[in-house]
Amino acid sequence: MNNHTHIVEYNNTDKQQVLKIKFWKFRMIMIIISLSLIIVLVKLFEIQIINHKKYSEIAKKQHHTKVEINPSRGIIYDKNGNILSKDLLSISIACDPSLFKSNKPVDQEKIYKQLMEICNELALISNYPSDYYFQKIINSNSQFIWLLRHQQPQKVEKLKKIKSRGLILIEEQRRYYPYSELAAQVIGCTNIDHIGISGIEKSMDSILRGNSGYMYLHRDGLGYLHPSASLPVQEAQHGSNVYLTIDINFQQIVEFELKQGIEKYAAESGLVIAMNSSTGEIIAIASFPNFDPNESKRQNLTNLRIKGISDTYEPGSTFKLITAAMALEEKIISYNEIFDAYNGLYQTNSFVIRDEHPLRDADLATAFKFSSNIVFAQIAARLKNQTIINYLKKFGFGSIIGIELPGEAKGKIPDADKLNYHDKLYLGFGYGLTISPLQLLVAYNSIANSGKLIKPYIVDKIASQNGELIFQNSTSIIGNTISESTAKALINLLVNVVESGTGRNAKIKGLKIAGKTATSQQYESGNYSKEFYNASFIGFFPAEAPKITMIVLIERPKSEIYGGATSAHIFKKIVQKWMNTPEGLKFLAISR
Amino acid sequence: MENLEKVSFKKAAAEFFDWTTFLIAIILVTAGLISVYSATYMYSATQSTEISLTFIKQVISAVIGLLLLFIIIFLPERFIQTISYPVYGLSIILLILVLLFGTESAGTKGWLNFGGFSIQPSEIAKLSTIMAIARRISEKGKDIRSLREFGIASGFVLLPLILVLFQPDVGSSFVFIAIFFGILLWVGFDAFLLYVAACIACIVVLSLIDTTIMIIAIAVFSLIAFFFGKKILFPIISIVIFVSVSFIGPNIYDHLQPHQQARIQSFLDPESDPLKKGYNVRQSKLAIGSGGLVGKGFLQGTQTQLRYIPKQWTDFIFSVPNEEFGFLGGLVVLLCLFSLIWRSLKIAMGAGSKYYSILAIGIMSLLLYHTVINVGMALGLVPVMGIPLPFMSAGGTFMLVNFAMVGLLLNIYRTKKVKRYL
Repeated sequence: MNNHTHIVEYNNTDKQQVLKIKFWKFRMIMIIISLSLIIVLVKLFEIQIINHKKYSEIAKKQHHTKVEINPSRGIIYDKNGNILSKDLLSISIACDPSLFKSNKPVDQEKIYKQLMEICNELALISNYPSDYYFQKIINSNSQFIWLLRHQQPQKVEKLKKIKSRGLILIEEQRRYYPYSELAAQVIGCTNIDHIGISGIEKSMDSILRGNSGYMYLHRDGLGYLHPSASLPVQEAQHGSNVYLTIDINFQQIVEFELKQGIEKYAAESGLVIAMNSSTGEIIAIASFPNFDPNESKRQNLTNLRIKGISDTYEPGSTFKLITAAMALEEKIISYNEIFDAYNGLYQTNSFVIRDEHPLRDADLATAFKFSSNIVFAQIAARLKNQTIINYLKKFGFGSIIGIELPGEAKGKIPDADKLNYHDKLYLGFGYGLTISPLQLLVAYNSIANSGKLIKPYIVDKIASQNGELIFQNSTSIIGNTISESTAKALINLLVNVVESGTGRNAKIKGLKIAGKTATSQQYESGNYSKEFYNASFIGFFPAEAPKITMIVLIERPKSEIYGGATSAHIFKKIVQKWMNTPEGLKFLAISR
Repeated sequence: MENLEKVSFKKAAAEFFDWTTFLIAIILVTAGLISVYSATYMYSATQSTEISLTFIKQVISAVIGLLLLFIIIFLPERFIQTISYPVYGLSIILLILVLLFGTESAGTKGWLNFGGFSIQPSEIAKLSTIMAIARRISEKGKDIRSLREFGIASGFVLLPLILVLFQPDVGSSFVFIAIFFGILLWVGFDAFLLYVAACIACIVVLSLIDTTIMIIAIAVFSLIAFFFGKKILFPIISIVIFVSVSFIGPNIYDHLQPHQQARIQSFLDPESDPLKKGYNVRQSKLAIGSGGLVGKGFLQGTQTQLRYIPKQWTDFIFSVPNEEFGFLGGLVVLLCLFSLIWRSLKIAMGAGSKYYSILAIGIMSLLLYHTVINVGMALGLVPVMGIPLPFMSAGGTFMLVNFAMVGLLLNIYRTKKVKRYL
């Protein structure tokens, strides 16, 4: 019998040997224990001391979450404090498709059942069938997809009740435009990410948007977020409110009449700009066709353009005022000079200039009244090239005026050294240069203001959301075009046009309107079109002390092509309607 | 003689009591309670779920455990030896009952509910199996190296092992093998056979990790087999066994429960699928790693307080002191645990009887296995299996078993000293 198993039987003879074996095993177990401890300690040291930094950073990354704090976007007001554009709470629906997948068939069935429920609900809200969403979700490998953006909160009530881990409802701000199409191009709109893409929303985007802030939160293992005082926070700076010089009531009249006119004359498009003659405030800008910024689908990007400032055209007859202004100011002609109007047909060996209304002899007033191309061609021919260009620049043509709207067009004026006799003749009655309607409006307005060139502006003031005034715009005179006496003479000419000339259609009893018509041919593929015209009327009133300067331009009218018939009529209708509004009555009462 | 006894008894009272072991246990319990408190702190702070009761339950278990410890210290050896079989029998009945009426948690049917509290029969079975084997082997005339005795002892181990395996709890069933291995080594079972058994275990694990390393290991193991001074036939047979096991290993793996496979996979490559299978290990390593040398402070551990480690108060309790008290905190815990293991060995060494010696070595094996596996789990060294850390992990039954084991160790220490005095 081997004794070494009976370790505690102290047989004297075996004691020595038993102890020897016992100690061998004791040592062996000690080695096992020590080795275990060493292995564990080495690993612990490796994780906790050597790689401490690495693990700290990973841990930190996983439980610090940076949450962006979105600033609220500023409100756009009109001059009288009517809200034109503001934020509205909306719910966007997204999901995490990975959470709709399960390895266990039993779970998967449950998940699919719930998913179908979600998709059915989505189908009710949107135009897409539920299967569209189902396929979209199960075919996605991403962890986040948008399903529907910017829905009204009450529409998603049912979805909110579905308890699904994969469904994500996000509160977002949506831009809301209480007046829908009204002044849509000027106010502009934002894209789905709340960034301005047109109009004031674009040009004032950085002011409206503010600065987003952030805060760090602790995210725990269960996915909950906990704020912590020890983590950095940067408050959002909310966007500022922008007050426009637009009078939305007047804008409404303008848009209504413009639309009526365009329909009546079967025109393709049209625009109106009206400004306060003495201050330069833009009180209405209308472009047609327009769009509803509240509609999420915007069909036509060209409808976003503010035609009055972004489009350029050859002005035609309305430019004759500028020709007359240059010539009178430079004393190249006298007010009473008689011009030969060649009975409506002025012919050289290379070209022909015609008048709609043939005249034999005409003084300046008569030439104006009947808009004689022949007379103004001759007047322009008398001017020096450099003089013409200098005046064009003085009036603001060929450069940007700097209104607070995106997409302002420069237009194109000829070079002084390239201007030949023929060019000058045509320039005299408004061809051979392109201008924007706004430029012409500003030029006319300088005549209404005795030669002072007043900068137009549309942003009246900017105030913080607490009402703190940040910026107040004011009238600025950016140049001088002509002398007061010349301006006075020109105003008389313009008044005549409305009283008894081509602008008769704009005539209103009891209100002296100074204005000029134009019917310019559109330049189409190298030729002046015999079919497409721009019919415009530009003027200001009351002529004695101008309050409003306004341009009406319709493009490609069909039933009636003449500016005197079409745009002058629209102009008149606008003014008449406006005169009957409280603002109009007050406005004119002061001036009388 | 009687006088002498009376005089020396007072002096000896302190000597009879193994203060070192006792104090180590107390330090561990305290550290455990602090860790459980911290791990469940956020749950009690935010919502009143069952989890928030964990700490209180743990305190109650510790108090009861302490009472149990003092009772056990003064039980006579004969009594303990006598109740070994009945206790073992009872634990087997509980293991059967748990399979029939137990409640399931995380895929394992391991808890028996009695109204307010629940017990974990597998934890009781670990200790009762040690007691039963110790009694059987220590009986006079029973030689473990005889096939019959080895068979009977194996039966003692296999019965609870299989029942636990049915729960199914593979992690806990391995404990019985570890205990048996320790005891066999201690009582002088053939070292060569134990060596072969250990090699087989290694080969099984390696066959799942890397074929190249496994082949190298088989070669090394085979070479060493020739140095046991056995007849040439034995090492050759062992080599045949090694090679066949290397093919069987992956086969067994294929038949494991999916959650067991997942745990093994997560151990083999914790980074491969961190959010699902290796998530716990990854988070535990982040907690420990980010703790650094001195830790983040009590209740300041972000990983712990932000609840990144699911069920941290049970299997991953080791990550709590390491995150909040750093490497030093972890070191204290580890040194205490290994001191306890070392004390167990010492006590086994000096035990007054064979029964007690085997009992102590069984307890040592259990403590060593639990400690290494649990800490290894938290460090990503071994696969995740439900093996709690002695005195630290939350769980009433295991806490009582821990105190009972230390109580037995102290009893063995006391008995030996008393014998010397008599």
